[in-house]
Amino acid sequence: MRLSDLSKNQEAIVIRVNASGELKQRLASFGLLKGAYVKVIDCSLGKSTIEIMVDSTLLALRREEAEKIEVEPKTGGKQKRKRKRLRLGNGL
Amino acid sequence: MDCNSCDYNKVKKQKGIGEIKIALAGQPNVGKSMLINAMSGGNRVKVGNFSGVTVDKMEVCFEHHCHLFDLIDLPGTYSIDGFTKEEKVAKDFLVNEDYDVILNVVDSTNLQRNLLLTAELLELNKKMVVALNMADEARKDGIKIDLHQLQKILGIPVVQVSAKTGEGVDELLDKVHEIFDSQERAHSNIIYSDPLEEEIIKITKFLNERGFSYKDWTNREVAIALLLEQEKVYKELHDNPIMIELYPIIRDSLEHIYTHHETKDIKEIKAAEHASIARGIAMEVVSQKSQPKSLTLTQKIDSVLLNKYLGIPIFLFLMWGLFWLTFEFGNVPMEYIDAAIGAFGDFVGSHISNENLRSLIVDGIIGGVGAVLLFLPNIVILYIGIALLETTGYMSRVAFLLDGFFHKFGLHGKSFIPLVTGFGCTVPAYMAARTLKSEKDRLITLFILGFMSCGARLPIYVLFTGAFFSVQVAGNMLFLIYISGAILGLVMAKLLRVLVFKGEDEPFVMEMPKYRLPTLKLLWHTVYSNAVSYLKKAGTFILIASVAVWFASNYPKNEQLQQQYSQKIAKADAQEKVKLEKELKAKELENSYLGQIGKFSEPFFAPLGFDWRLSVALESGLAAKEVVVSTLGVLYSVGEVDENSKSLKEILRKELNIPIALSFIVFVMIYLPCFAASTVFTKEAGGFKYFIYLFIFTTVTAWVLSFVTYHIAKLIF
Repeated sequence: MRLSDLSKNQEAIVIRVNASGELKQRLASFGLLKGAYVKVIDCSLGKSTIEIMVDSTLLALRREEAEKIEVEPKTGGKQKRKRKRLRLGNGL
Repeated sequence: MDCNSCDYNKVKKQKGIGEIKIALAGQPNVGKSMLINAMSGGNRVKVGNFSGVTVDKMEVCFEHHCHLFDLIDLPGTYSIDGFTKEEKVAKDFLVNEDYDVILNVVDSTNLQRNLLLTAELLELNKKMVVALNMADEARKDGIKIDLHQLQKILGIPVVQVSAKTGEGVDELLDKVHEIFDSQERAHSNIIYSDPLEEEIIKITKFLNERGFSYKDWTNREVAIALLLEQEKVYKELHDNPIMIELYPIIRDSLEHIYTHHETKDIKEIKAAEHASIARGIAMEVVSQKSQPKSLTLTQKIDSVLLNKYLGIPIFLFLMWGLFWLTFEFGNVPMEYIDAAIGAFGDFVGSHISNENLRSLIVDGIIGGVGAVLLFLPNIVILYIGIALLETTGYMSRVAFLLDGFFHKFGLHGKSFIPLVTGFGCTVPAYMAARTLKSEKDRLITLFILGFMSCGARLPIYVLFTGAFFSVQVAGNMLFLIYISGAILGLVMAKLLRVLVFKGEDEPFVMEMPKYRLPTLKLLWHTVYSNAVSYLKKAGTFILIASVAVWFASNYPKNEQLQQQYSQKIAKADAQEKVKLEKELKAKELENSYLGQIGKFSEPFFAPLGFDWRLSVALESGLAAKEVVVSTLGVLYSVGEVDENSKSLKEILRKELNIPIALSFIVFVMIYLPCFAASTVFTKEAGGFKYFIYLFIFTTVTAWVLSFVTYHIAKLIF
């Protein structure tokens, strides 16, 4: 599923970013990369732009960019699970 | 870059004190500029709440405990590895320039994302202090940060501060001082992922065995730099024989890391490493019970302002309100200022006996500069509005709302930021366009920016609409002028995109900062500094231009003509005398330098309905748009002999008609911005040839559209 397919208030985990160089780096600088949690907050008219939340950052994306991000929607709706450590640096 | 804000070298010499050069780095919207104000006690940097206020690096100097603090405010960047101009400026400075301490400003309410940059900065191996800004906001949000633990992990001092309340600012200054004075540089204790750590240890061991050393770096730091491919380290070690042995080891290590990360892109690997580090640290040191209140509030406000159907109408309403206020509210003090200037001119005039000198001071200087001062209230209101848009964070929302629309015209949602700034002044607007990454997006935006009528053009519009329409209609006309300028800009952008700048669009990825209410102090300083710079312009540039215009309109004196008329006047009766005097003045003006220039260019402007006086006013507007009004003031008041001196508005109403006024407004809307803006444009666009393009582009467009307006209006009115 793509980030652009999510509906308002849906949460998901990023599984792949199908972008190269510049765009990928830019997304990463906001923490939007594999393993990140995202939530769709709002869409503009015609879904031309999408507002998402990554961690506690609100981010605006164009649909074209959101289409390049593969996600896995969180199931079970409002179950609040503690965030898992994903490939964390050990020994901190 | 020199330190312009204070006479830095002089102070240094005088006091003979040491200086600390501090590079201020941080992500956008972390309150960096505000912190500078709090630290320096002065207010030299404009503060804003969207990325792109600090477009160039800025320098601020101040004294603290007998040291001169020299702050270099780098542009806010999410990363220093990126592709935007700001990121390049920041990285270039951090890697290549000479400075003592990095001061990394971090938003306490969004620690995790901010740590991405901190991790990058730590890899530069410089003396560094972290300022956890917005400590007050974090407390309100119920966010607790374990300072001790954070310092331990990062290995460098961390100070909690609030630029808003001034909390911790002194402690921060002391800390910077202390770090500067310390002999040893602290080393980061950050630990990377297992596969990367393995390789770091391997290379460190190798370097240790060879007794290798590089600057004041530990061998671990060298190993990290080599593995993460820091270009500068490679460049400097290039000629070191140890590299022959190192290359195969590094290659092996990289292969190992590639396999683990499933990519061969080292930038991507770095980003992933930094992301896990940031996430790990945030989990360890940040405790918060629920989602921060401010974030919840922001989302609530967004649900209204970003509403699918209401968002754009709300925005348009706000903009309309702003322009309405500018006109209605600004008009109230205007009358008083007008009267005061008139009275002042009369008063001064009555004390000067020399006719030429009186004319210079009263008509040239007081008339010219006064005409500009008149519009200060309007400009202040407009700037308050724009400052509010910027500092609250609404500007980014507008970009979000409008991108769908802007994108259709080949522009970027972010172009909105320079475009709106353009309504204030075109100069900062050209500079704000740097936030656009793609060269084409940027150039298109630069080319159409002039169509957004700047504050300096407002006086011309107010004058002409005020002269020919009632107050209510004039307010709406003003709104119409601004809107049609914007629409024209969009159409032109599309044309440029289709015909000239073809190709890929820039991706739209931007942060929506949390809504913040600007403090009154901050708002005041933004508006105050803008008003002061407007007045400064009035006091210097426009003063000189007014005098020049006055001179050009009064000289050369034609004595033959004067004699001829004085003879006639002596013979004539009272009624005819007035008529003859008027005729003489008009003839003199026609023969003046200004008249000659106007006459020369009159054929060019004649099809648009302009006489030589309007032509001259437009030409003087190439220096600065404020000069247009003052030129008209000089040109028309000189021709006016009536003792009950009427305001310029009334004279214009008598001399011109609606089609000419409309045609003039259209020309002013479109043609080349002022001299200062043109200079900045040339710099930002990257070459003089672009200025030539801009000149041709704007002049042709202005001429054609004025022509059309004039002839259509002639049919209607």
